[in-house]
Amino acid sequence: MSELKDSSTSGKQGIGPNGITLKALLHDSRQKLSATGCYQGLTELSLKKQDPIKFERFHARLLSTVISVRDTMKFIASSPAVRDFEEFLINLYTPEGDSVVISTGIMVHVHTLSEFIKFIIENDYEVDPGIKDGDIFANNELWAGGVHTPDVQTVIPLFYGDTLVGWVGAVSHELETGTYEGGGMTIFSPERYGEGLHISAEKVGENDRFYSGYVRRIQMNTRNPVWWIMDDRSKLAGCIMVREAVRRLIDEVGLDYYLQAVKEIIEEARLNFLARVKRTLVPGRYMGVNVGAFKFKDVPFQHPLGKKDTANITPIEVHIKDDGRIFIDLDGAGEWGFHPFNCGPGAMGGGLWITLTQMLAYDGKVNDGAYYAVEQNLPLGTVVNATYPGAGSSIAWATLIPIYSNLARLLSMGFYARGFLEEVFQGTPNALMNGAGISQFGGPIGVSNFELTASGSGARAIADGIDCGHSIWNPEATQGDIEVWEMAVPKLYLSRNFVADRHGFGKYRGGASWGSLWIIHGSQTFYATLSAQNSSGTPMLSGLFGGYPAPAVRILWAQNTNIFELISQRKTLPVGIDQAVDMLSSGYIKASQWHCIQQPAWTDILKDGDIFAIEYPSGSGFGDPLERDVELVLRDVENGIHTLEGARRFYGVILEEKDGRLQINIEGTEKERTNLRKQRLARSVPVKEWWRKRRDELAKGGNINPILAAAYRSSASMSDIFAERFDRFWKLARFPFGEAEA
Amino acid sequence: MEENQDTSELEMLIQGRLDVERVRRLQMEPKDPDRMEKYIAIRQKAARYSYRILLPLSEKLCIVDRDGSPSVMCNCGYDFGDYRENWKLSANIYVYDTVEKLDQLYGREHGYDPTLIEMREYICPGCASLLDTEVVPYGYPVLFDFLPDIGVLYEKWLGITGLEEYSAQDNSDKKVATFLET
Repeated sequence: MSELKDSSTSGKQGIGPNGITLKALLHDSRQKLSATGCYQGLTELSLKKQDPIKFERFHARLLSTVISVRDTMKFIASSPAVRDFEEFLINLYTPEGDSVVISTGIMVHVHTLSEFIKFIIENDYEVDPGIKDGDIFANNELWAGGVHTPDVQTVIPLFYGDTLVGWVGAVSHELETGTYEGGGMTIFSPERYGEGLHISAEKVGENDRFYSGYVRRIQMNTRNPVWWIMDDRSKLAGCIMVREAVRRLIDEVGLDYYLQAVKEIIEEARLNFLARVKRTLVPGRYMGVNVGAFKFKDVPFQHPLGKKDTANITPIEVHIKDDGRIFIDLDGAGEWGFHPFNCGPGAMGGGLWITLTQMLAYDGKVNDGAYYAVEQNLPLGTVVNATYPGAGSSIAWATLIPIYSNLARLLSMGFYARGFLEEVFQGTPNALMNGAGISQFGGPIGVSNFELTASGSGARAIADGIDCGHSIWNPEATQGDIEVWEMAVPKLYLSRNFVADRHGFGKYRGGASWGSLWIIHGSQTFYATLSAQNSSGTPMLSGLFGGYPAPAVRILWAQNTNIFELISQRKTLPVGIDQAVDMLSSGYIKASQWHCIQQPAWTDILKDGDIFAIEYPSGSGFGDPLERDVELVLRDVENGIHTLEGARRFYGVILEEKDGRLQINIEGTEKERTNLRKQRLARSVPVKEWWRKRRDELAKGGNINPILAAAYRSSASMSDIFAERFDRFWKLARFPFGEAEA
Repeated sequence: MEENQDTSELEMLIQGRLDVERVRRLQMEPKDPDRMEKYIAIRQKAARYSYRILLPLSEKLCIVDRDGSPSVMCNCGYDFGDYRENWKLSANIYVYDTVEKLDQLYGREHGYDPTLIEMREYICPGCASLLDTEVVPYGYPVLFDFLPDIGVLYEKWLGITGLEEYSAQDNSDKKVATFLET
């Protein structure tokens, strides 16, 4: 190691172990991984071998430190995201920026923090602005390892004496970042310039204190800055607590042991990951595709760059190799665009990380070792790796969630084949309510309502999906308390309940869809952006083995209503979106205008007594719905997850009311299911027949939606393989969607 | 639901009858090395055919050794041909490609645009089971979701020889080429 040199420090001694620059350390680490396949070139775990008990105790001390510190951090923070929604985490990193131990929480950011630290190293922060004990660095930029503005990264160096021996990093999701529309994420800003306050991989403090200028910037650029400021203080306090605990541990074990042990912990995690792949998955090739459409042309108040309807096709190909390594190829992804759905390597690494930690690397030693067993191809200039400096990424999740839910779904096929049915899992799409205006306390307010963190998951191979308990980015899914949201936003809940017949059906169904219905309270000025699902007009994902995707969710708002009048007359109020729609349609609820739609929208100014609502989606089903246990269908009807009509339509189950109770008509159900099976055969055709018909239609090219044709052209322009795959299957004389743009 | 004491834990898991807490523990515990063997044995017992199961693909489909040919077979015995050719190409298909058809499927507002996507059902011609659904951009090639490398799995990961030639070579093109023949 001592011969390592790096020109970036102009001959000065580096701050890393043995006086080596961080950049040289990082490059050396990469080179050793590339040369040996092992993290830091470790072909054996010598410390573990010498004294396994000491090694495990060392790991347990580090792990318990970050987990217990995280719990303390909650009591310093003020935002609902951290206090109530688990939207934060804290981790320990090596000097090169690889995670060693991670807390629970918002898993996506284990690797985004790693990318940020590596950005600091690669860009010679060691020289300018310099890195010293007590410094604080922050970032929320896509190009420096972040995902989008609300995910604010706070990182401090961990010095032992004069030597940088690691980093401590924390992330919290901020519910307000000063976006154009209010809330943490902008749905409609087509470029980065509407995303609110950017912290551009900066030194934001020293001597363990934030610069006053940094704090003032947050105060002046966000609507309710106390959340962000206190979350930052919580993260800084957490980082300092971890730093001090690690220093005490180094005092005990010695620096040499510490530096070697953290490397071995990562290499062990890499080896464990490969072993788990070989134990639970199947080598080979897995393929899927996602298509998202964004219809913004008719959205009022839209930015001219974003006022259009677009679609994006993203194929995913996964190769599980002989040695257990996984290669994920996103070749064929369409070009980046003027919309908030672009991603960069940090975001995609984060997306991959959440899938790995929930599917394969969730016990034992969980750190970047798993990451080093996986490789991704993120073609430059595409929506998964946008290179345009002004590209927006505020809703990068609209791209990330379908891709990595598809990855989970594809890996599930491997788990299933090996008989590990308990590991089969499918993700879920998303819906988001943002709002801003003047609060019930008279000041500016902006917020993303993060009850969305508890959507219904996709179905499993052994049970239904989780009701109200899943978000892909954070395994600690929770809706939070209604009272918290009523305090944070000038709105009151009229209802929060399941919505019948809106989940992915199958032998096992997706977790139930649910919705919230609100009334504006205490404000004459509030506007909301409501994002129904990740897309307009396209489901996120196929189901598994015969399960179907759930229908798209709805959003609703109504202005100048007579709700207060109904309340004062003690009349019935709507409970749920379906009932609100019925009451609005019949005129029972009066409104100057109302809308119930299935695509993103920006409401007009809402005021006291206006109502608005959103549904949260369900994931896809698993297995043939006609094989669903009839008792489960009955239970769902009793719980309001199905209507009687839905039970019959989706599952062929006939229920009747007898003696005041619902009962299954066994004979009728059997007959109905037999008929439905017969219908299937009668209406279906051999694939060959369908192929010839569809091929003719495509060759004529007359019936192709121009939005989709543009998406096909975009993917073909970014990838030769995409067009080849198409040609190989359809065997047409020409690509039917027009010439790919160069 | 009646409890059968002879039913193994794995069978209960497959049937969706295993207690939630036990499932959670199964997820947390080290994975049993012979799970695939045990699972195949259960599938083999339930199958209507006697061919050796090499790899289960889904609830209905398995790759079986049909007299020396590795074929995708439905539980009912319908043979979809060599596993290296996408089995879907030998299935029946029904496509929800109009608003009316999607309305019929969902029964209420679904929000999906059949000019952007098509929802395909793949049905077993032998038993009318729904084998898979597929949502893809309109006009997208049929997805070959999962092409296992049986040779590597058996030889390198499980240490069982004799199946080395069963690679992940995609031969679906051959099948598609036959679609042009009248």
